[in-house]
Order: sequence, then C-alpha cells, then structure tokens
Amino acid sequence: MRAHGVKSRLLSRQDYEALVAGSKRIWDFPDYAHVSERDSLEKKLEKIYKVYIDRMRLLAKIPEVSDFVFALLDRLEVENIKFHLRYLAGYQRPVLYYPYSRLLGAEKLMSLRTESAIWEALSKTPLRAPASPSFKTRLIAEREVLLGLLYYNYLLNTINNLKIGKDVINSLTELVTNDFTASYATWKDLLPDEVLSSLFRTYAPRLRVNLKLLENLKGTTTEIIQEGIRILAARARAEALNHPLDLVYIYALNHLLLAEAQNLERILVGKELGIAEEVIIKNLILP
Amino acid sequence: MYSELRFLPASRGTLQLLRRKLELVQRGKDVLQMRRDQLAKEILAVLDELRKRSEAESAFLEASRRIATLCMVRGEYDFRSIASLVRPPKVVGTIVSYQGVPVPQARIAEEPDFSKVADPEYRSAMEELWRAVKSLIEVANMEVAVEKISEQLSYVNRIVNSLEKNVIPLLQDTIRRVEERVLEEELEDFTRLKLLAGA
Repeated sequence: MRAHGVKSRLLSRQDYEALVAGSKRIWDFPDYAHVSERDSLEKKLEKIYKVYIDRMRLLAKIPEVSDFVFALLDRLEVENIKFHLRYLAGYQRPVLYYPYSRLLGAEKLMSLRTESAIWEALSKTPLRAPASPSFKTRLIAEREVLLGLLYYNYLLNTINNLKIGKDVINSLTELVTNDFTASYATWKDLLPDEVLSSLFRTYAPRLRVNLKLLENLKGTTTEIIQEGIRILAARARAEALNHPLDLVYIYALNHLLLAEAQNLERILVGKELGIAEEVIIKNLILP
Repeated sequence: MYSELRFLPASRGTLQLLRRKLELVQRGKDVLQMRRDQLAKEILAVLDELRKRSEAESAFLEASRRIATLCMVRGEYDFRSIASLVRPPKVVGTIVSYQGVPVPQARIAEEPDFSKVADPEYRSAMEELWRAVKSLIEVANMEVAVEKISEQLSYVNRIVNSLEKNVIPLLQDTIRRVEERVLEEELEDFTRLKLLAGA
C-alpha cells in the first residue's frame, strides 16, 4: 500500500513539460517544496536525490522488504565509490557525491586516499569485494566494471536470500539480469573483450547476459543508457502489473523514482546550460 | 618644439647644421615609411588568419552544445567525476615580437590528458571541445597581434605625417631664410669691402 501511495506522488508527463516550459517551478510540487530558488545547482540536485532516497527509505521501513530496498538504494553508494575511485585516479578536481551512504559511510569513503584502501574497506561490506583484486590493465574502467559486477552479485544474493515465493524471485532475477545486460552493453565499449571476460570469470561467474536484449542495445554509450533505461522501465512496469503486491512492484517503483530524480536533474542541468526545450524533453524518461 | 629655429643666428655654420638636420629627418622619415609598409604587410598576413574566426566560433559552439547535452543526459554527478579524470591544459602568457612589436600571446604549455577517460563518447566530445578551444586561442592571439600592430602602425603613421607636414617644411623654410640672410650678409660684406677698397 505504501508503495502505491508513493507511486501516486510521481510527476506526470504534463508536469515535466510544464517544468521544461518554465510555467511551473520545481518547488511548486509539494514533495520538492523545500528546494529553493536561491539554492546552488549542487544543492538543488542534492535535495532532489534526497527525495528519492527518502521515498525509498519509507518503503524500507517494512521489515520484510527492507534488505531488498536498501540493496536497490545502495546503487547510489556504489556510484559514489565509483566517483571516488575516479577522483583518486584523476586530478583531484571537485566531484559531487549522492547524498546517500550505508555500506561504507560517506565520511569513511572520503577518508580513503588510495585505491587499495577502498578495496580493503569494501571487502568488509556486503559487496564482498576482493581485498586486493588483480587487474589486467591500469584503466579506471576496469575498476568501475568490477564494482558494477560486485553490485549485481550483491543484489542477486539479496534477492535469493529473501523469504518470498519462487516466482517473485524468478521475476526479480530476470529484471536484474536485464539491468545487468544494459550495463554490460556500455562496458563493452570501455574495455577489451579479454579483460571483460576475465573479470566475469573471476568475480561474477553466475551473472548472465540477456542476449536478446543485448542485440537491441546498440549505438553510443548515451544511446545505450537511454534505450536501456526505457526498456528496463517498460519491462519493470509490465512485470509490476502481474505483481502489484510484492517486491517486483517495489523494483519497478524504484526505477520510476530514480527516473524522476534523473529527469529533474536533466531539466535543471539542461536549463542551466541553456539547452533547447525540445532537446531536454527528448532526453527525459517520460511515464 | 622647432620654435627655436626662428632665433638661430644666420651663419654658414647654422646652415650646415640645418642641412644635416633636414637630411637626418628625411632619412628617418624614409625609414619610418618602410617600417609602416612592413607593419601593414604583417597586418594583412595576420588578417588572413583572422578569417578563421567565424569557423572557430561555430566549431566551439557546436562542441559546447555537444558537451552540454552529454552533461545533461549523463547527469552532473557522472559528468563531474569523468571531468576529474582529465588533466587540465596549461596555458601560459608570453610576449612574442611581430616585426619588433611586443605582443602578449597565450601559449599552450601542456595539452590536456584524456587518456584516463575510457568512455569513447565522453572522450571524443572532450577532444572536440579542446580542438575548438585551441582554434579560439589561436584566433584570440591573432586578434591581439592585429590590435598591437595596428597601434604601432598608427603611431608610426602619426610620426611620418608630422615629419612630412610639419618638421620637414619648417626645416626647409628655416634653411631658406637662413640662406637668404647669409647671402644678404655676404653681399653687405662684399659691398663694404668694395667701398673700403675704393676709399
């Protein structure tokens, strides 16, 4: 019921169009009323993602689904770890972090100053990272892919440990496999095949790729990501119709909530950068 | 400046001095005219480069639009962390001489390093933007060069004009006046000598 209540608060296509056209402002919507015009772009983005996190946390209060909801939310922390790895490997220019942490904690993450310290710390979390992973290249992308693999392993393990029906587990596994396939489609362009397959063999032998979906995901990285999100959201929505009262619905809802945060981020960034309205609209994941 | 010329004593020495001065001024004027021609030629050469401005500007706009769209679609969080992987370029200011005119120029001391950006889309967008920025830097350098050379050209022009229209005519007038006076004085001396010889 709580999930259905949260879903009813999602922004509609008309709301997005009004936001892009400028006839409505983000603070006109009750859930985002605390976003101020005076806030910097960074602060606005932080508040937008906080809404997504708070909505998911509300669902996490249900004990039976708590682990699963947090596992979905932990994706933001995995992204933060990725950002921190890039920060350390790069030229220490300021980066933004999502306002969420649970596995490592924001302070702990910021205090880690070397890559090896990050893997060491991650080995003590549910991600079960190898304390000293062996990499074939010095590419940061190889580290990012490993992080992604560990996350999908962790998500599938969480699903398999849930005390729910087999059909729900199967549906969720299929949805996660699709999600993983969309990520795999982008990784293919980042790393040579032998490096990618070595990572798979060593760290994620159980993960499978949906070959049919993979065939549909072609083009530039952005096109793959956009198409991936659209297909995944559509499939999650379709699955949710068959499972209106279980975790599949929460999984689909997570997609929709995250898409809303990402849409608002795109609108704010797009307007800040003076991008044409039709280009912004074209790149939104509309309900 | 040349008002003292009016009070010069009329003598052969003064005349010699004035002729030397006129010769020097005329030579100076010729040298400055040559320099003016050189500077004008240099400006014409640089102006060719400046024609690339609209091309550089549209390339920059296109690259900015591409990177802005990428930033919007991939999100500010992802974009900033990818940007942190790029070693920024180093651009230094230096003084370059164009036909002896000192011109401040921006020089790329170090190219940005995109090698850590694995995503081909980000990388090509960033490389395209950098190429556009580099062209803009070149155009800006040329614009500053044209500005400084033009300043120098108009300064040289002013001096040439002043020599041509004021100094040289004034010197020529003075020489003519002193010549007349010297001639008159010589004639007076000659008459005086004749009278004395007659007496």
